[in-house]
Amino acid sequence: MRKQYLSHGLIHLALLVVAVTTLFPFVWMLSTSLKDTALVFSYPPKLIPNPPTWVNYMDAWQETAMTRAMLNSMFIAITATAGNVVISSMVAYSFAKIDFRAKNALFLLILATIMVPYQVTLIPLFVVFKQFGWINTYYPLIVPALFGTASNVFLMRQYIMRIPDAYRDSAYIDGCGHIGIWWRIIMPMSIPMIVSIAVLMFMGKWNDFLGPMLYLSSPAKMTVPLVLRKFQTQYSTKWNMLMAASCIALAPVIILYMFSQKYIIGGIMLGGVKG
Amino acid sequence: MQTMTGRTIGKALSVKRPKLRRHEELVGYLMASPTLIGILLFSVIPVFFSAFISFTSWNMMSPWEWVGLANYKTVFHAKMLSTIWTNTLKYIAIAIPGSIICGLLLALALNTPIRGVPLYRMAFFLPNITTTVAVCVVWTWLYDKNYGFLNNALSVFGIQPISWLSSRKWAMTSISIMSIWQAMGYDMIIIAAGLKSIDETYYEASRIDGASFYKQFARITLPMLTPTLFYLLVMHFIGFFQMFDAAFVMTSGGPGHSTTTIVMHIYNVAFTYFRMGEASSYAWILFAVVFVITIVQFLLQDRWVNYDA
Repeated sequence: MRKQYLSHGLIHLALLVVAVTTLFPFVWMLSTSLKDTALVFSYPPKLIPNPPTWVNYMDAWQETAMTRAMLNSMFIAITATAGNVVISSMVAYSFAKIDFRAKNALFLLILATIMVPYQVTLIPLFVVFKQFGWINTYYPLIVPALFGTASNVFLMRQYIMRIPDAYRDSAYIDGCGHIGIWWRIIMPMSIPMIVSIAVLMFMGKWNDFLGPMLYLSSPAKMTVPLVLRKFQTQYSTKWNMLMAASCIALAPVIILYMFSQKYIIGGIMLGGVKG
Repeated sequence: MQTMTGRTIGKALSVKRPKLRRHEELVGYLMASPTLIGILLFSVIPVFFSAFISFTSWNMMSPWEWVGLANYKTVFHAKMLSTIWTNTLKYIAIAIPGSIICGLLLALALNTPIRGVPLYRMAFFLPNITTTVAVCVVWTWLYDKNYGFLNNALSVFGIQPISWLSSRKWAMTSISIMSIWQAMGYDMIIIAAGLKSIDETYYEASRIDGASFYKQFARITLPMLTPTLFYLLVMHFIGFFQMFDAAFVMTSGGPGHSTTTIVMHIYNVAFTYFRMGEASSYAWILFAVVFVITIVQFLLQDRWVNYDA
């Protein structure tokens, strides 16, 4: 018994050390963001800024036009995610619960596209979207998501397959069509999976860097990672302001993570597919 | 039972009322159509288009001129090809084993009956979901040669300041360390799921036989985890080969070209120099290599992956 306590203690100790190390970059970011310039470069470095200053946050917020960037990111992430989740669920329903001839072959085709690396389609899509006049608009970041994505269709299908066919059949006998069965019965029953997928997709869209960098050029349209990157190139050594900006950029993600942790981890465990 | 009712209804429909059966088919295709159209527009057609571009000398302004394999020849003779491959290989050689081993150790520690597992898990997974651009800015500050926390802390032990991001020797290693920090939480969760699926009776039986902890790990845990480890290996090879954000934000590919990865080079050739044909052939070479590696991994899995439940 005592031996067990000892080994538990050792595990806790090891885990605590790793946890502190893992979280340290965030702690240091917060600490630096609250320091004035003299304190930032003081040696030895101090963890707790005394007195703390909020001025970096106000400067960073103003300089990056963060309010606008947050709204932009929010708009892109929410529209893309909402559309994607609904459509992916519908497509997944058809593959899980309807018999049609080429079903298996088509599903394999969808799965195969997961393997196509994004840098292959990057250039042709850019060329096409440019032809459409979609440069410096949100369309390239949102429209492809509205068709449903292969990985999300796959995850939803796995989930819907586990819902007994009896639900579909009894609704069918009661005169409900497939659209009705999907929307009124299957959708509500797959809420946990939908939330998981939605949160992961939202985070992926919010954190996306390459896509917005390629397509968005005017400052008023930029997303949070873009303005942060721009800010970094302008003020590469103003560490306290940079840390304040990073803090602002990370806050929504961290808060969302705290509230939806269960769904995020559940979603990753179920499919092992991110974003 | 479940499938039977479904099938019976389907059969009944197809035999007795072909019209309804056709209707059923139609609804199926209709409901599946958005993603089918989507992959056609955004995956299948672009893949062929990309292959076509790689055989032209197109630069967004010029007319489309067919040049055959000229781009591929240029790429294979370019000095950059070996540079970007060496850089990328160096990155994955550190980041893949690093994140899997860290993830494995964390998952094992959290698989013990201790308190506070959800809290630890939350902490370890946090870096994985946070915006790469933002955490890269933070790490750039930690890595700063003169005032960064890391060198300050090391100076306590009398270690001279290291040029983490500004020397050819260290830059890629520093980025890899950041990537391990970001990826290990994900690996931890996947491995934890793998650990949960191992049947408890194996451990009970081995305890009765008097097996030590290390023996249990080597003979039960590790073999049973091989499918999980295989999955992570395949996913990481595909994912880490495409690293872009971290190197772009932390070093912009420098110093020199010491952290220019394949995808970053593709980005530069395409969107800085607008040599679309050349960039596309780089993309296809990368695609081919990743594809071959993935196939080889699947072929080799018989040798070490254990699928007995």
